[in-house]
Amino acid sequence: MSVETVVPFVMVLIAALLPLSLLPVMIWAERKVSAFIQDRTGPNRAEILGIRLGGVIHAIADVVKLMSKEEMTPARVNRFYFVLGPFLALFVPLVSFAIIPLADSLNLGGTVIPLRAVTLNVGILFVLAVTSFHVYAVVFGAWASNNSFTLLGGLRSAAQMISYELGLGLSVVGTVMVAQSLDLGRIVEHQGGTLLGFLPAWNLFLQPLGFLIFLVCIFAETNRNPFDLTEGESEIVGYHLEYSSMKFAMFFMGEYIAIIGASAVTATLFFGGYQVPYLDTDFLRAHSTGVLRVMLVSMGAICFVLALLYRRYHRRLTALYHDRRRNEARMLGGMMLLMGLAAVVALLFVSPLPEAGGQVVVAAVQMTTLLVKILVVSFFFIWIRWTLPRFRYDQLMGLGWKVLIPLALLNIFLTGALLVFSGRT
Amino acid sequence: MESVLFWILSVVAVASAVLTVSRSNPLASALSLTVCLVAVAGLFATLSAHFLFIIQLLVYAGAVMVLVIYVIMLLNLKEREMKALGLSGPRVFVSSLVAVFVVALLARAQSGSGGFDPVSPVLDGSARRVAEIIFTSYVYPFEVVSILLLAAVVGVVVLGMKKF
Repeated sequence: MSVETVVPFVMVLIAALLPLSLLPVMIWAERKVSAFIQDRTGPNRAEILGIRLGGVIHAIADVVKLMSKEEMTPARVNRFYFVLGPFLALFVPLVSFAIIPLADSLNLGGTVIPLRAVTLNVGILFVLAVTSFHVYAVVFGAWASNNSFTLLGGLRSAAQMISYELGLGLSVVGTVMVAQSLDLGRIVEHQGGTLLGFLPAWNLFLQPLGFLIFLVCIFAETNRNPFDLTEGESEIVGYHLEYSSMKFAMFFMGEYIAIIGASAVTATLFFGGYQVPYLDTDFLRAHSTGVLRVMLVSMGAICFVLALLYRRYHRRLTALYHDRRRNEARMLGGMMLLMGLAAVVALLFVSPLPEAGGQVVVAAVQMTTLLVKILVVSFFFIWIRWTLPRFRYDQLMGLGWKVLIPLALLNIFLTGALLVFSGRT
Repeated sequence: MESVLFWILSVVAVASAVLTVSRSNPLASALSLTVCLVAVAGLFATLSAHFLFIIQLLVYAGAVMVLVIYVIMLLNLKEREMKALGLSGPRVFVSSLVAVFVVALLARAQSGSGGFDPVSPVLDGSARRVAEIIFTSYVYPFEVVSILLLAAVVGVVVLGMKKF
């Protein structure tokens, strides 16, 4: 098996597993951030052998709860469509990750290996196509429940998603015009380097208006607050009223995977994707050994600082409690110490890397950069949810059709005019 | 690889097309038609017509079919009304006649251009190439279609107004 045949399979695996592994992190972050914003402590009780990880263990407790709940199916529903809704809700957002370039292509002795699951020269349209398929989940879930309220809720959500798809599609046109390509790989490459000497050449700075429209539309498209009319339980009934147990959980997980996917697309289109600010791929590859050293040093430093903090935490816990709550600080502190020591040992054995090894190291750095950007945008999603109130339905439609679409058209015109006058067409 | 994909996608496309006309539940028909459109989009992708593949997904499967399903749901058909929509003798007869005619037509067209090969040579199906063709050779048909669409948009606005 050569590298060219193995890498695509690995990339497909990563594209499927990355959003799934970020899912518990997102649910944890949602609860902790909401708690922080509302001046609460948030979940911190669930534990395994005294280990609570600041509430992450609650994700496991949630899964156990959802799986053991009674599953209700309303009378006289068509089982096929009833199951199809949640299945699509979970599956469709997962697909959008396949198109995201996770790092710059490897170039091993002339053979170029793209580091993404699917290489399409119309990548950006793939993202839009996948979002448009998300409507089916809502529509089938709503209709199959055999309930007038869910049907109304589903029609409302579907209308919202269809309306904001237009704004979404038009807002990315400016980005495509700047990069002169529909390929996400090209769009990310175009965002390397700097603007005016000090700003990273991200589309955020080249397309501020487009970014704003895109952001609003992607919030509406993922049914997030302030556009989460689908789940406004307190005022209006949403489309997943009749779902319980794991089927409800699939809608719930699908929503978070859609947020992670949307964050990935936003990071790729407007925050430079995998590009490390100020350091382009060629520079990183030329200094790959140094990059590896810096990575190990920073990893070791973080681990040691965390180990120190856990030591202090352990002292505090020991003074307060005499039960297994002390385990957490001890175990995690020990783990951090071991990881820090491993980093130091590895640092001692770093020798100048071969060409291929250096490229793999650079790819790892770029993937980490993308991950950080995804997490930052995801945090923004959560932040907005706990800050802004909900829109009314007519306000939502008015904003989509009467404000965002004309603004997106204006953005296309302005981008075109600027490109013509700067002589870059 | 491509020929395996071709056979899988073709079988799915034909089977779902048959289901589209044979189901009495309109929602099942619409869903089958969506599957059929996605399978045909997959066939475009195996022909390396990436732009056409995405547009088929985006416009037909993603937008048009959603609208169709939306309307079907709003109609709220009763079981009794659905029964009348199923297959019946005359419908089967007429549609099979048309199907036989189309297959014969395609077979005749195919016989002129050499044998049947599921794997065609790699074409340039990028958005750039499609745009070049549309905006040079086919610019007049393109403009005519634009006027048609504009007329449809104006019609929708007029119908959507509360008072004529």
